[in-house]
Amino acid sequence: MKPEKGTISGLQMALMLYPAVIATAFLTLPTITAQYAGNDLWLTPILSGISGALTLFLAVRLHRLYPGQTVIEYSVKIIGTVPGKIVGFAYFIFLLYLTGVIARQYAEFVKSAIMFKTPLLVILSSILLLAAIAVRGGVELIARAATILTPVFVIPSFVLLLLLPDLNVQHLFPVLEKGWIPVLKGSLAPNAYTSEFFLMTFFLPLLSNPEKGAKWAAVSIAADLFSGLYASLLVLFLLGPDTADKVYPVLTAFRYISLANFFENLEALLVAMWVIGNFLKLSIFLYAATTSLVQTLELKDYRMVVYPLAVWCVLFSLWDYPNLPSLDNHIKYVSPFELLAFFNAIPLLLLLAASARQVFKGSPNLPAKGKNAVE
Amino acid sequence: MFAIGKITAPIALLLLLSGCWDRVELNDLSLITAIAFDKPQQNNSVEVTAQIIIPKVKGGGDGGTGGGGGGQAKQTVTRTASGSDIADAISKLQMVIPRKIFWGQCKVFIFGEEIAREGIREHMDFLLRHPQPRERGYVFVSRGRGADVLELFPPIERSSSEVIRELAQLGIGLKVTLEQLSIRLKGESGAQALPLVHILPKSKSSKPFETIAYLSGTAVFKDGKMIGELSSRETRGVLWVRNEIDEYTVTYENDPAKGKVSIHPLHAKVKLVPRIEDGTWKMDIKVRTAGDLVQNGTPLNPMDPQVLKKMEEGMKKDIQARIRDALKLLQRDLNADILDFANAYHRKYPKIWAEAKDEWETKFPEIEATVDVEARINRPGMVNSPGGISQETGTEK
Repeated sequence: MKPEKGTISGLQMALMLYPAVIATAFLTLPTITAQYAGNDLWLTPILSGISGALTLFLAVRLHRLYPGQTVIEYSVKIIGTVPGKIVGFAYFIFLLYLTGVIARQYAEFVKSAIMFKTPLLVILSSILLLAAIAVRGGVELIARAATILTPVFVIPSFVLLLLLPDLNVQHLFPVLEKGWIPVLKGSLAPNAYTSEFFLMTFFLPLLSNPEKGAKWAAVSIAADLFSGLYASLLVLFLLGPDTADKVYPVLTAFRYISLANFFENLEALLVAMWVIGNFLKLSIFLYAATTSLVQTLELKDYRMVVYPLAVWCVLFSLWDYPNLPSLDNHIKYVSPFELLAFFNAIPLLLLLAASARQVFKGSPNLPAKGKNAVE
Repeated sequence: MFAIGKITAPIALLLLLSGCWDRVELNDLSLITAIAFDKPQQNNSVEVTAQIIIPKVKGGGDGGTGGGGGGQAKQTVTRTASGSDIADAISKLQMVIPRKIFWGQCKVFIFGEEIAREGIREHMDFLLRHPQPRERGYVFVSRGRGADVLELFPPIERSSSEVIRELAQLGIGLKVTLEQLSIRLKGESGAQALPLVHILPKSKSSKPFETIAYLSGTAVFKDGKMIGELSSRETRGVLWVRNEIDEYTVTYENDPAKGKVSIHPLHAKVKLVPRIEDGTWKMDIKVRTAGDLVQNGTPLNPMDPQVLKKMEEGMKKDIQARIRDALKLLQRDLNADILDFANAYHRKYPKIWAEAKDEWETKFPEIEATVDVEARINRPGMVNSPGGISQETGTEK
């Protein structure tokens, strides 16, 4: 059952998933990874390729077993109606709440960087209203917005190259002074962020060229890793041991740009970039949350639930955290486990269960074409 | 139903557009160009002086504290307030400034000598934590009160803060931004260096306060407290080791009997190579520099490669001596590692460093530093033989 008639191309999916993951990671991850890994923080985005590869494998493999279905639909097929619905509902709650966390992260940054007096509620609700309008417009609208806006989101990050004269490569050394353990600890958060690529489960069924889905998702994951590496190295070379102590190291980097005493105060550019990136991120997460609810409850029309869900997101983001440190602690200590549980562990269990069904044939729930799809 | 929505939605959006909480008009703002921190006379712990741009300059004399007036219009005014910390002082400062204080253009932070000796760490916290002060702003220490520097009316630039900022950017002295200082405060060496600002005695014909502040020498900090200073000459030695040499002229006595030679180095590359041999810590400072001859007070002909070699030898010795002087002072007298030897060891010997870093205080003065200079003179300038001497009597070899 599809709530959606639109189709998107593989490239469009890649352009949607890229900001959906990097938009928040770009700004906050260097601090978290530097707190664990110190000057080896640049290794953590590379290590997040582990989760990237696993996520890609899980999403694509499951989709190949159950073509044209999202995780919500095939979980019912794999583990039965009642447990499947519970899983679907869990995804819905988690995605909705995650959208709230992202919105809060977005709003906290805008408030602490540039709009000091604007109430949090206004920043939150305006972006979520925009995201809700985009979701109501359907997946094609989000995809086209991503086609236009993702380049606009990416290009300002190259302005950071103006910092080249201020960079000190020496901050890189000594490499791996304390061994791999701190680096591995630090790489947990980037891995968790990368696992958000599992959201491709909601877009793979909508592809007009499904055979290219895996390829484009891989391109998107690779672009994400490179962006993480770029941001990490840049802030490390600029801030050195100070990286871990900055709430938003990339913001500091943007503020530090000065070209001929004239091209300065560029943080507005970062905020613009952040608004664009998070509009896409929130639209995609809200879309995923909506789809989960609609498919779990098998609703006919998804449009009517979008606005109420957006209101829930606002409430979630305000209820969850009394202040920025508690949000940061959550992102540092809790989020990695939540994300990995929902985007890697549950899909892995589903895939194992599906494979088990393959072995013990005669399962009534497994669709016939699924068997052929397994090479 | 639908029509109502079509009408109300744009109206709601319009309301959002105009009702921006953070809207600020330029003429509601006071642009601060520099801020100075001093020790106040009373018991309050910090006195903040802000230099503010006067938005409209009409004629001379109006506005501004300090004497003078008339003639060239003053473009800045200073205001002072004291409080128990910077944030408190700033909020009191706002009481005497009719427009909202705006820090976006504030690129100069000056610590008065007295407060620098007491420690700057808690003040740094404000500057780094508050979202408005820019990490790129330059930090200075002033001889005497920092407020005095801001009360000057320079003849050339718009404000005295702009003067010292421009001077810092010329690269003739130390140049330390807020962020660099923050990194240094976290660094392994535990020592920091900031440029020292002096007030230039005014020339005879200028009016009172019509002069500038300039940079000369270095304030040396240990753990955020000023403990001593370096002279201008020693500062240059430090600049060599820190690889911050830019626009810069070396003048030396090539051969004491014969006169002086000046080289304008075009570039210098410095490498710190730490070594630990049999428990003794050594540091090779490798300098490679090259420049052009700009003044030749000797009767020597620089076009002769043999003679040029001797000149290069003299340049090398002079640079070595400068660096050694600075090292001697830093190692023996101040015991402050502003050259960041600590990080050089940390990078090369992470394991040994982990054990020795607590003893850095005793280790640093014992480091045997060798200064290895490779100096080259590339061009003789526009004349070849010594200028102002006839062909026969001149050009000795």
